[in-house]
Amino acid sequence: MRLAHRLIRSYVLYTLGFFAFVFVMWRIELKTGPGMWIGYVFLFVPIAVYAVIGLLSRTSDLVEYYVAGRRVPSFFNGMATAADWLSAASFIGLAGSLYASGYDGLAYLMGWTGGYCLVAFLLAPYVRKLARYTIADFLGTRFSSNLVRALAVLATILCSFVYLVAQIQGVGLIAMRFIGVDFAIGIFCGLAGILVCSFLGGMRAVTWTQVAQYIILISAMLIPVALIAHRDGIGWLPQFSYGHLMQRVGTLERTVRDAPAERDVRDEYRRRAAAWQAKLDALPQSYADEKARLAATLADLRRRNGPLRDIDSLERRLASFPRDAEAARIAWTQQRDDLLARAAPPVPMHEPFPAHAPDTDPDAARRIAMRNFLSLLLCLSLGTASLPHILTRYNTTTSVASARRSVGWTLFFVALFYLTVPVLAVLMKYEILAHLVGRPFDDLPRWVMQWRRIEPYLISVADVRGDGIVRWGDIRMQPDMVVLAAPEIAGLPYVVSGLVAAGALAAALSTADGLLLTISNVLSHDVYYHMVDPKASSQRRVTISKILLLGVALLASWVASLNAGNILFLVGAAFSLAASSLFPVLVLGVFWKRTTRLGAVAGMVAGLAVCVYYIVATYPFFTQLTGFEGRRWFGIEPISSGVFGVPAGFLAAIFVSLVDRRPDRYTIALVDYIRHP
Amino acid sequence: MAAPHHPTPLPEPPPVSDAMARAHRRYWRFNLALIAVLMTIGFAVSFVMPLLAPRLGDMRFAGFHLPFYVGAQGAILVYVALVVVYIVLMQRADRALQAALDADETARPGRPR
Repeated sequence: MRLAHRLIRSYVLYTLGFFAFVFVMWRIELKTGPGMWIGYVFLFVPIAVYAVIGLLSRTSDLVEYYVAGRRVPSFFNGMATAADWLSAASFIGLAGSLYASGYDGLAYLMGWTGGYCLVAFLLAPYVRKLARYTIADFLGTRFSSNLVRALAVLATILCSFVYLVAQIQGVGLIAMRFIGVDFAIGIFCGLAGILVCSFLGGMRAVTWTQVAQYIILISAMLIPVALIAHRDGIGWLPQFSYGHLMQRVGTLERTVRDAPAERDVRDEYRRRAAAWQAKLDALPQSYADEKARLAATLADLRRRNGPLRDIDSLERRLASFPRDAEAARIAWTQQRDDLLARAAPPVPMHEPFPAHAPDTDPDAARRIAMRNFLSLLLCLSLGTASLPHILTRYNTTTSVASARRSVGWTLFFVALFYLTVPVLAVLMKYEILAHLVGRPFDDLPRWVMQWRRIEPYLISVADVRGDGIVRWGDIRMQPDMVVLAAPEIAGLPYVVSGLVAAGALAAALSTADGLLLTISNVLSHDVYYHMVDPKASSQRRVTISKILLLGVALLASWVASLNAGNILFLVGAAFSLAASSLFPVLVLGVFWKRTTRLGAVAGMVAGLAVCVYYIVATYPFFTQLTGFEGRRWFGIEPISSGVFGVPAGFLAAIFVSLVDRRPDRYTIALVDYIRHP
Repeated sequence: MAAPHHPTPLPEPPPVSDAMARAHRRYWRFNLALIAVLMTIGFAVSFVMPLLAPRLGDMRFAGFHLPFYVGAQGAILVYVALVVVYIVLMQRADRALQAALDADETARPGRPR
């Protein structure tokens, strides 16, 4: 147990050092006032620390590189897995989506924690027992087949790569907002940050930096929430006492829903939406009219020597005007729907499955909302249980029992985070409803002015009704801002903003590292070693792995720098993809001895095919791309396509296995070996 | 399809005695039963509660609306409890299996460990 003791001592010192660092920064801020330099310090000092840890854990030993020597204590592996798991989306996006959509957002909270029950019961102990290097390796060994291995490699890359790109984009955004650099430069800073952790030491380095990153990210969540809650008078530990605050929020929400002034604002939005609708109805004529009108106004302004600013803005509007009537239809429909969404009365946070559209049958809308909630929940929990970068982490523990304990610790550390997220959402909603709504426009808080100036599309407050008072309907806030701007909204020192930025960066970097390593390991171990050159020396395999890691990282950064927003949807879909392709075979492979090689192939192909088909046929991005649009089955959203993929995978695997020859004695003995600790 | 090869050959399970086979079966059955029970509880919390949510909307718990509380806090705490129960009981089952293995070995002293 000397290793565990040494680790505990180092990380306790590290944590104390981090707190001291934050404290010193706060004292300096008190003396000199807030400044951009705080952002720099909070982004670069942690990266330097990760780099030192990565450098200290460098290795060229095969087992150390792939699975950290299989000697990580369960407590620390739990912490590292929690950091691996908590991504930029969890850190930045989740509180925002709870703030914006209330009860519906709880599907993420429940799915992402409930999935760990499945990991503990059905997967982690058995993955650890067989003690392979990757999940594709596990499946390839269980079914003694390189075809199964290849399919698992494909599934791993498919769901990990988009996820990786999204993390790198997250790093770029954080760098852009907090230190004001260009997005592309932010991405390459992020790339450097990712590579210093994983390049030299593989899993070993990633494990120890992830533990360090977890400590930063959990402090960045718990400390601001405790400070805000204490100020709002619900104590330092609001996780279990924020019910009373929710009651106050509920009262304010009802006021906002019923106030006549708010109704006026919503009516105004409905009028604006109707104007867009009129234009949409008159297409394609209205497209030509609108363009001609813009051009005429511009010409007129130029002739009259109008103000340069107006001419500039008109020129920009003309330049970004839809290229043809069809593009205009899409853009204008978007405008209309945005306005209609803002015209809808606000939904109380606690209300489950509200009927959104007022014109359709509310009962049917409620049923579909409930169905989508449940299927999203199912997909997220099954997906959590089958994401390869999480499952491989349990290979680093010392034994089967330790892997099981490690899942418990992971869930504990993840729960610590997720129990705090709804508190933050409620606190922010209270803050906005109690302190921003009803304020005169002459006296806007400082944070509104600042954010409005720097990034107007993130937060905008417009006087729609024209009475000089801020209404709920006037405020438009990007959900991501709920976390990033929380310290400023609550009026905390700028150091806390820096802390939040460091936490968000830690969340994105830790997940990116885990994903990067997973992808390059399946490529080097399963593709290169098992399929290309089985005689490669272990030295060569580690070298190849490092080269592949560098290549994948560069490719992912390049894709991220294109900044194609549409891939963000695919991150949500990664859960469905992982669940459909891997979950059925992983579970059947252990729990049903009769599963055969062909059954596994059929299960993976069927699950993946159904899932991909449903996404391509129903998600607007793809339907516009391919021109093919399928019907939605039971009104299920494309993000939950796993609801169809998983059963398809199970059915295909079971059916084909039953038709196939019985597995031989070696395979039966292998499954017995996997089952017993 | 090319035959897969094992870089580190898997340890072949040694031939087991009847007593050991029974112990293994008991262990696996216990595991399955435990998983079934725990997953049923988890399923009820995750999927039945949201179904009932519209009807339970007026119930309160420490100031929370009950369905929101179950989603935001209750379910997560239940999941943690389920995993803890599983870990503890399976560790006990591991020990029982180990005891059976030791007993089996002392019963047949000729076998190498």
